[in-house]
Amino acid sequence: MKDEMKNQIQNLIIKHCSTIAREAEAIRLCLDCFDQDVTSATDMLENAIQHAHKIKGSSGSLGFPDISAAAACLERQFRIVHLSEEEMGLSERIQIQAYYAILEQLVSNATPEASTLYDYKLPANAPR
Amino acid sequence: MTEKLTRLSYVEDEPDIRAVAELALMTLGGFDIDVCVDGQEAVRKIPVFKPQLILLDVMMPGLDGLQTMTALREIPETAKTPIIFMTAKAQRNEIQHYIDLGAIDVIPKPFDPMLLPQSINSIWDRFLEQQAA
Repeated sequence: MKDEMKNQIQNLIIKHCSTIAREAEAIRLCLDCFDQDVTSATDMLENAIQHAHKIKGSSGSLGFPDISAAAACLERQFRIVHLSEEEMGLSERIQIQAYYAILEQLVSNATPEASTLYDYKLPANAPR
Repeated sequence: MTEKLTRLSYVEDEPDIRAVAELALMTLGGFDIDVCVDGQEAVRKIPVFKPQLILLDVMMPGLDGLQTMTALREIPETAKTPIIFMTAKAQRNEIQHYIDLGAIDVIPKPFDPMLLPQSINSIWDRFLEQQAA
């Protein structure tokens, strides 16, 4: 049971690396839309918040705390802009691009083996 | 009063979190678990499954966690089933807010799935103690 669980966790982590790459790409598409179409900026912002929120929650629970933290920073920045209800200014745009660059780098460098859960030592009382 | 926690429902829309938490709850926690992918499914399935405890994500599309709790409270089978919220919004005042609304506790996200069964059992034991007092 222990080995089986370890294999299942590792498979989930491998899958998760693909998930966060897709989510990060979805955020990038939202950022591209900010530059192209101001009329849909609010929708894109809400989409971007959802994608960042997903990465924050899931990466944190799948052993990537640094990716989770970077996504949390980006989500917070998106929410600040969203709450202000004003068009995104240059300084906010630069800040968001900077947070996104950090997230993108962490996600592109993420390997399953880097997850803190990948070689997790199951407790001694775990089913064998 | 020692009612061992064995049967719980878990509502989470995010597939990766759901999968790893489900694995930990079943394998490490030994729970009989019913998983729901959103609030609508929860309202449909949980009254049939009749768990001792419900783990409920807060931020979900469609019915969110609070709306799901409200809907479950209107169904006789789940009107009094204890609920634990799982949320990234877990500042002290936010936790108190959820407890005021009827949750027995809040598990902050992101959570360590390997420690999740232990956290849930602790909350459950504390809940039973409060009920008995």
